[in-house]
Amino acid sequence: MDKISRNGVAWILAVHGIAIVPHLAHLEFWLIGMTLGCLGWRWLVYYFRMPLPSRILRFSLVAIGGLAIIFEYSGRISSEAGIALLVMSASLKLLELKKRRDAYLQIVLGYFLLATGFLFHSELWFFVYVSIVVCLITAALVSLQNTSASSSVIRPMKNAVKMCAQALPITILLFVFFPRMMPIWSLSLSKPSQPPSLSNSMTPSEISNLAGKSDLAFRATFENAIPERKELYWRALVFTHFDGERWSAWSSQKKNRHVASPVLTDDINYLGRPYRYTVMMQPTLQNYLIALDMPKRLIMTDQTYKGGLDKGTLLSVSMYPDYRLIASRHLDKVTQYGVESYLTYRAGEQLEKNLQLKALQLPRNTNLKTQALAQEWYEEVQGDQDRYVQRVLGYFRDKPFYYTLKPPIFDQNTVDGFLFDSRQGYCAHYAGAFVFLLRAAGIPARVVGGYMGGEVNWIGQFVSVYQYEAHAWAEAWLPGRGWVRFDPTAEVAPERILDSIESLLDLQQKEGQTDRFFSTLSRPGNPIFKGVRHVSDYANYMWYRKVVGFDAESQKRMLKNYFNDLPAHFFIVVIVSLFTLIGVLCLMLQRRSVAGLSKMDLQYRAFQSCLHRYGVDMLPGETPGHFQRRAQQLLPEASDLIHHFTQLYMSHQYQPPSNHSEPEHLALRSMRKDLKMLSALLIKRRFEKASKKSTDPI
Amino acid sequence: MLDVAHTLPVRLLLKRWSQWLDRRVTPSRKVILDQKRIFIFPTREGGFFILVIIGLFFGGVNYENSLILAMSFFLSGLLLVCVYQTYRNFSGLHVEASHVAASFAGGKARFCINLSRAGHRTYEAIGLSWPNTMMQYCCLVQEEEANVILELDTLQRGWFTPGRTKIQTVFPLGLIRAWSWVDLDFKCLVYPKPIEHPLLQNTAFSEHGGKSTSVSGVDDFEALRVYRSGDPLKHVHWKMLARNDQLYSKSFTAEQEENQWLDWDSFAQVDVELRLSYLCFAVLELSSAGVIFGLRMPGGDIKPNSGETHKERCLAALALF
Repeated sequence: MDKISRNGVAWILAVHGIAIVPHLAHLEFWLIGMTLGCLGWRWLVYYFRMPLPSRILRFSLVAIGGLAIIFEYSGRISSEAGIALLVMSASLKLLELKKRRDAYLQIVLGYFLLATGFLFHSELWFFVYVSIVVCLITAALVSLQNTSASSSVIRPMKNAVKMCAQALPITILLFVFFPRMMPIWSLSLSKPSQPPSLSNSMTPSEISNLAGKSDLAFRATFENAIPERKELYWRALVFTHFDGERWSAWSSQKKNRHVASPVLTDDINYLGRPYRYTVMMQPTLQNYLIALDMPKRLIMTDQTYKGGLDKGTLLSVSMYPDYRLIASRHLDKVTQYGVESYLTYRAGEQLEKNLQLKALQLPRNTNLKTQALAQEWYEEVQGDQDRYVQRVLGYFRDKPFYYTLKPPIFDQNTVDGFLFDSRQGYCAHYAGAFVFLLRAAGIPARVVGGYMGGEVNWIGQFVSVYQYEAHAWAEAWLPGRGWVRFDPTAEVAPERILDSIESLLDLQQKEGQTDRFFSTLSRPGNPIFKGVRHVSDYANYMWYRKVVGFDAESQKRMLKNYFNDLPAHFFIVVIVSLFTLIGVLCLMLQRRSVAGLSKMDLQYRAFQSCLHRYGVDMLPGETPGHFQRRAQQLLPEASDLIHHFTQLYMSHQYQPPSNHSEPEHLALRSMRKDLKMLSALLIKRRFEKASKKSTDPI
Repeated sequence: MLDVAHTLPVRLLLKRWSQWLDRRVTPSRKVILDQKRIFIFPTREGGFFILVIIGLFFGGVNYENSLILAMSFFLSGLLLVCVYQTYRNFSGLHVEASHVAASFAGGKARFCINLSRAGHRTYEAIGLSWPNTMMQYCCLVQEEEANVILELDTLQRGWFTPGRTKIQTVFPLGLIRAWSWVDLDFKCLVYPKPIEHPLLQNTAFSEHGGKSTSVSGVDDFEALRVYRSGDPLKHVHWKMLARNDQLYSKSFTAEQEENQWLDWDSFAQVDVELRLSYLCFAVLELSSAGVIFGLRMPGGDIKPNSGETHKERCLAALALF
């Protein structure tokens, strides 16, 4: 019985194939080819009863594969290399699938392989998929057993599903209560592809590229009220340096010194009511954090690392002088943090010289027309900065400016071209031109990049912001008012702020830039789709928040909420007692598990064990009647009880119900009474014997 | 393999284990598997499974991946459930010794074990074996009871008590093994290996006792002549063989109801076991020929008779000598 049944082989092939599928997306082509090749080969062996490849052939395949992996990952020990190795070995192992032991190893490896998929995907649908495959793998294990129905498919599946369902409560319990530990060493996956997001240095066209991306940027759950759409300006980056074409963030800033934590900065005067919310940001591979202008407090809820590549740094966040939130490392996974923001504020009433200079920087000898215009206007308003700003905004409002994703591109003097020639641009163009004009008049200004608006999900009180909500606006420093926000795009296309994405999509469709899939499926206009999307969005969000994002901090907070400050070792106690409970449950089930015994038989068994303690045992093959007589002889003081008990037992056990003197439950009750008296009597006897022994004169 | 099994400490340990087991496992013909008798432990594949769980757990901790942790928790839960299910697939099974087929030394003894179930619980993939023998499997799903036949090689004649049987299951996942040692008090009578006496080769054994070769109808035994190949065995004069180590045939003038006696002393020069083997062979042949014969042994005589029971009695006498 050492070989696997053919049915078993079929199961394993099927399961292995299904388990590999999620990995296909990020494996190299040659590895995918090898995997499929092994699967196909083994299937051929199964179907056509071909012989398995020889040992030499297998060994050479292993060698080739190993070399290929080393070459591919340049000899670095990374998680991707490890997973590729795992997939390769699991596939090659298929070729030596012959004995039962191989089958078991293959299947158990399958579990491992499936779990590694979670490193790349954490969506809800993937989890559902994994659950199904887990049931299949379990069914494969069941099908390997030597049962009579080894060729059926339903039986193993039913068994497997039953067992998985039984394992679920334990899973949930452990998931919630098992103490989450800090990583022993920090390992991060090197994602080869940069997700679409804002980055530290962008051209206006790069920002407009984000308009077609429907990837989620972040979600924010508000504690109480959600601000109006036109107030949802989410700051991510601040671009201070302009080289004529490209706006870049100013990196070499000194962080705010002596900031009294947890307040982020002492530079801002917060007014009005605070809004508290939790942000869950998708990985950007950058180190900025997104918050609503202006954040006052920030609480990092996860990602503390000890040692490893980061050498003992905690993930800390600080606010730069240009009010950006910068983390101590790049964010390569979903990041969660809580923020308190005030929509009304007075920021930077004292402007540092350094900051001022940076905010006045203009590229030399470019866009001279714009600079001349700026001078002209400045003289008109006689140095009144507020009026100057209004003049600029008025220019955008009155002149025929258009809002488009694909404006004509100028090689040089991009601002000149935009302001005088094309008058077509995206939000970044308007913001850039605005800042240029202000700087040309000596007013410190800078471009702020981030997101504007978002889709409100009323079920969950959260706002989902997608990449197509990326926006650029401007910030100018006016004396007495500090840094003030100006959104020149609003002057041009007022519907940009008041409406949602429909109009933009309309715009995009006209220009043929959207990908069709996105537009038809997620067109928010369709009310049914909207409802469905909201629900699935909510489901996904809850999934991320409660399950994927459930880390050590969340656990602590949850436990604090429900159990009020319990020491850590309490939960070790809980876990231990849980397992003892399981053990006790098993023991309790013992009694019932002596299967098939009727209540009468159980009573008789109790009777036998009671007498056993006093040295009277039933001989093999002895009838109850015979035993009764023998016991009566050996234990004369219990004679009546023994007789009564045995008679009851025999009459109920061996005679038809019509002959019973009383119904069964009454008989059982009196039998139990008999037993109690019997054991009491025998205890007395033992006691008397013991006391007699001690008082016996020798 | 290291020859550890023969070292003294290992032998002592095994002896103590055997004694402990003896106390727990008492011989009886019918056994119901319950908590006192059942051992549970992960199999080798179960050990590998546990390694995978540990690997996933540390992977989840280090990558701070909640879902990998969830997977490791799930697999632990599955293992626990498997312990329970495997136990349930085992406990409450009724194991009873059924019949035993007698055999000859050097052949195979067949023991029949009857498995039955009492309640609604079903049992699958129950394996039975003696140490170092192949395991036979049995299922009790639709049926209430089933018989499993196990074979063992027999080496010498006499009573063969095979000792404790191992009964085990790894159903449903093969990760946990539940097993028990049952001593079903089997006793198999092993007859001596039948060996043909070299001088008796090519003897014609006809079913009808060679009636056709009788010469003439005289009741008494007429003369002795040297055994010729082809003479019926029932005419062999065994006593002469003892004295002369030469076979003689008695010739009869008439067919008569001759009471054949197989005599122990016929093979005086031969050692005990070989003698028993020769006699055994003779008993078998005479029985199959349908001849009435008796067996004369130092321990006692068996009156001439024929038939199956008589044969068995003779063989038993030979086996237990």
